[in-house]
Amino acid sequence: MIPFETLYTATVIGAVAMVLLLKPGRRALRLVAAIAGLGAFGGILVAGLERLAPAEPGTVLPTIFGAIAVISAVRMITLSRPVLAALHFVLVVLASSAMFLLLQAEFMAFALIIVYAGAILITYLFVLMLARQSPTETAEGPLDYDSLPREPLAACTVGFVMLASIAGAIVADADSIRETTVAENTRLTAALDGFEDLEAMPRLLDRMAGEAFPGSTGVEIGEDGRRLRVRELEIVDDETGVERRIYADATVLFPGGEPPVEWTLTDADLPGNTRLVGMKLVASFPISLELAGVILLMAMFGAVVLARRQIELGEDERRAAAGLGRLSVEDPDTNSTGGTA
Amino acid sequence: MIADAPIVFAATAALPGAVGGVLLVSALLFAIGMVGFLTRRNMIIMFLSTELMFQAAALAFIAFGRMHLDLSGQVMVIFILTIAAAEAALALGLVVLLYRRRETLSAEAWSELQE
Amino acid sequence: MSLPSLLAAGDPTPLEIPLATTAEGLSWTGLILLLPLCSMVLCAALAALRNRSKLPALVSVLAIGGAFLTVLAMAFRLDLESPVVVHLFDWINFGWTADAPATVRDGEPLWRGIVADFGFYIDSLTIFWMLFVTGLGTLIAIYASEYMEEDRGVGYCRFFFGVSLFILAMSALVMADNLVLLYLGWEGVGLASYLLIGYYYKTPSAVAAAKKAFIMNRIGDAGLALGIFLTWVNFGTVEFGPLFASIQDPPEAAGSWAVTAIPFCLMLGAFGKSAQGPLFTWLPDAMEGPTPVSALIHAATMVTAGIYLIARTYPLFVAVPAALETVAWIGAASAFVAATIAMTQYDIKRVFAYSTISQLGYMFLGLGSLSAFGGAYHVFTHAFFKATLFLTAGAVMHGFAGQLDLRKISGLRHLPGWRIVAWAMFIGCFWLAAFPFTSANFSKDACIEGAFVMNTPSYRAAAWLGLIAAGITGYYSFRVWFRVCCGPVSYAPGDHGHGEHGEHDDSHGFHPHAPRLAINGVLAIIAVGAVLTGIPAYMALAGGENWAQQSIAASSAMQGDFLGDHGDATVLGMNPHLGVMVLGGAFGIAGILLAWWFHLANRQAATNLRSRLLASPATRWVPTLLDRKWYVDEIYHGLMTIPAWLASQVLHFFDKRFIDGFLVDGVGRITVLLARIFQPLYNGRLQGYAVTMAGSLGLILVWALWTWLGGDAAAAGELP
Repeated sequence: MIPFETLYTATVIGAVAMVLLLKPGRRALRLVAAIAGLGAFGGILVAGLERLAPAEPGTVLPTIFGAIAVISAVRMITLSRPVLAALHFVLVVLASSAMFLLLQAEFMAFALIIVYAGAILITYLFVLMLARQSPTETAEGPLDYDSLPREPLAACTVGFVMLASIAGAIVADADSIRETTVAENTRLTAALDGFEDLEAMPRLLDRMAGEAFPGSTGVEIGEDGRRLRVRELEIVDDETGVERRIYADATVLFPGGEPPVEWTLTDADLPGNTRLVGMKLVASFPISLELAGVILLMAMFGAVVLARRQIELGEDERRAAAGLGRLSVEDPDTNSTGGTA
Repeated sequence: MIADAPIVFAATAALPGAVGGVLLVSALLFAIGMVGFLTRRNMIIMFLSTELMFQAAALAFIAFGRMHLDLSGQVMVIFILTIAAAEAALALGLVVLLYRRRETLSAEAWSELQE
Repeated sequence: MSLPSLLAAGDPTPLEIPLATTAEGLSWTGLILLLPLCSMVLCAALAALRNRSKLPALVSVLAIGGAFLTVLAMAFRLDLESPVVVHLFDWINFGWTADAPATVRDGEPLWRGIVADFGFYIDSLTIFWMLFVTGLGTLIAIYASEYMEEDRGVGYCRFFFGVSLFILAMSALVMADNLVLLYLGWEGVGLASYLLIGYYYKTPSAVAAAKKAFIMNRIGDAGLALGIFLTWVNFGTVEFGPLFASIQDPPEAAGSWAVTAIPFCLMLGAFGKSAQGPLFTWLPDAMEGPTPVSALIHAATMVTAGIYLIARTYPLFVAVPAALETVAWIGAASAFVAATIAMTQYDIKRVFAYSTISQLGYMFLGLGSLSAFGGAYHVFTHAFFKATLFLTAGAVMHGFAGQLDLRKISGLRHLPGWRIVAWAMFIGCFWLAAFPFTSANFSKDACIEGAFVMNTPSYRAAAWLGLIAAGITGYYSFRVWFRVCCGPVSYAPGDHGHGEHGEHDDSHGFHPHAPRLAINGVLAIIAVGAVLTGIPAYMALAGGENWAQQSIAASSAMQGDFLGDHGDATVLGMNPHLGVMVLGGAFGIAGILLAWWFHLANRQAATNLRSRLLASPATRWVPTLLDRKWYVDEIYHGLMTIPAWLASQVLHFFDKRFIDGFLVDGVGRITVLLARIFQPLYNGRLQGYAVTMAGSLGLILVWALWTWLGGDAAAAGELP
């Protein structure tokens, strides 16, 4: 077992690398720092996964996407040109979305891309462009406040102390994480939950029955009020050994006195992630849903108000930018203590 | 009907380590986002770093949701998106306002709350 | 059998002091305290009202006179076969249960508590003392009414306030029925003395003298307080009645070192108050006060408080013969030293001050020689003639604008209007020199005689010292008389330029201001009184009873009465009584003749003698030593003042640098330093605050992780 110290050492190396990357320096130094940072990243993952998921092939994909995400994030915060930083953030979002897919959150993966990368980041880019129309910016490269970091040492120390503690917490709890990701248990539990959710969607069931058996009217409701009867089956296979699977039985009804047909549902008939997420959202978090709507409404109001005030102040700001004095001392919109950092 | 039904999770069934790896990546992204927030002086990049921290939180939610096979994690991420969007709108509006006052995007232009 | 042999046998209490009886219906005796108290309050009120009349004097004279009348009433109406205790009101009075105390006698717990009430213990000694205290007090108050008339106004009221306070405190002291009330009076007279010596508070020397007097008294008071504490611890009571009974039947605790220490502690207090031993230097300086004050307090009454203390607690002293001997020796030594210094002083009041110390020495010699009668009787006679002398000096000062140098005034008795003053001074000096057949001679001889009767080598040596001092006394007392009142008339004014008597100070237009009725009248009365104090002795000579001796014999000082039993002591072959009379008289007359020669017949001879003494190195030390008052002040300066000054410098430095600079300022600087350390956190920058917040959060996470992992150490298998 790789001990904890590796984790922390990698953290420290990563912190140092980060500091060096933040400051503008010679290219060679930055290259070395970048490599060191990568190594640190690898070290963290290796040290962590050693406990979390020892010797499993399933860690390859998360590692790759994770690397993309982390590298993009680092580039995002170290680049001195804000537009590039925003674009790198888009990359982070994409990698993140891929990781969502790995974790069977398909709906969220695409929602993330659409909302985050497609709306929020576009807004950021708009504002960035807008802000760079200022006449004070020179064409000689990035501005002072963009290129020079502020107390990188303190910030990295703080950040990586956090990282060490969080990562340490995760890794220390490795056992419970490991247990819950055993494939078979996962699959079975997912199937059971899925059939429960399907039970709660009777109209979908009827439609599925209609597609499977044209002319049917629906699924019969049993004596216990349930439409599906879930059962477990063990299959012995020479190749893959013992497997357990979940199946659900339903009785499809037909009109006109035709005899009902037994219908067995398998994993493939489970509703997709989108439907399941929707079900969960409306069934378990209705109030939060409403509140989210209210928040968005408030945000809209706020944006409109903020945008409106801008127009009133534009006159003063433009006068100040042109080097003319303030209109009057009593003007409440002027800043009496002026001065920049 | 009892056939070799394709197991939905087949392609992903061999990815138990995904949760652990994603969690670690989430921690890393959070730390990086925090460092970026504390380091960069450009206000917009600061907000971007906070968005990065949101990302890390979302990743963690999804990972833990997958771990406990509870879709609540994904529902949380929906709300995170909502809040992030609302916050981004208002924050950027404020940033523009502040920019118009001082002609600079530097966060250090606003340091009057001091002793 | 003689008392000395009794002492040798080790039985300290052959005579029994009668038990005191508590009397009812004698609360009128409280007038003695009440009248001066009212006078005090009235004078204070008059001072506040800025009264400019002689009303304070009138009030005080009436009050003190009333006290005197009360004393007379007590003397005639009370039957004093046994002492009478009058309880005025409860003061300190608490006890505790029988199972608490630690001292047990005969199975009975000794301490029932402490009782120190405002009450009087009236026996013949008390009456004896109070008579001259209040009597002289009244007369001197009358004298002062004229003497202090230039200060009419707030000062006048202040003066009589002080005088009334003094009489109040002195009465409390003398009449107290317990040591604590005595101590209260003791402190009260000290306070009054301080207030009155420092009456001319604008004069630095007066203020310094007042402080010196008070502080030296405090040294003695510490001894007295210690004595009181030891008395209570060992005898279980501070009240005189039970105390005397307890001494005659001492509890088991008595007889240890503490009981031996009690008289020495009390003696220290007595010496402080009565200016004996090394504690005498305050008395000459106390002459800075107005002359009536000097007369009343520092000659007649306050300084006798020490003798009264010893007389009152005589059984404690008699139980410890070493204490008696110490008292006698210190008295004799003081008598001698003070007399020698008085020989060389030019200031009349100083001469009298040193003579007071010297005469007090005789009284202590008497007390210490088991002649309490001698000591007390000499107090009585001394009060009168010393008061006379001081009052005449005051008259001279009053009339000659403060002139007190005896080289500058001469031939006073030839001046018109000064007759009474001159003859009063003669009587005073005559009595001071203890010319045979004066009352002072009887009392002084009684003191010295007692020392001879004790018949041990040290006592005899002390007695001889006393005799030699008697000769010197005769010399210096008549030195004053011959210089001031005899010879050619000449005078020069002093420097108390009183605006009302006008005229410039040293012009030939100066006329002495002759005393008027109040001064002359009082002088006459007191001088006559001095003569009359001999009546008890004359009556004894005539075969009757010596009233003074009877008073002493019936009081707690009774062991000091043995007039009659001389044992087998001899003085140069004569029996002590006769021997002392002859020798004392001879030495005294020799001194007077010397004074006549040097200060009347041939005044230049004194100056010549002095110059010759100073010229020769072998004898130069004689006048120098006496001039410098035996260097006692210098010794004090070296022993006390300089080390105290050094210590104060060290402490000042320590205080300033260490306590002030390091600790106090340091605390302030630490605060500022801490503020400066944390001040950058408040730089107003958002990200700075964010770093702080994130850092704190990180620390909390680390701590949480640590405790969480520490708890799951076994489960996690490996601690980070």
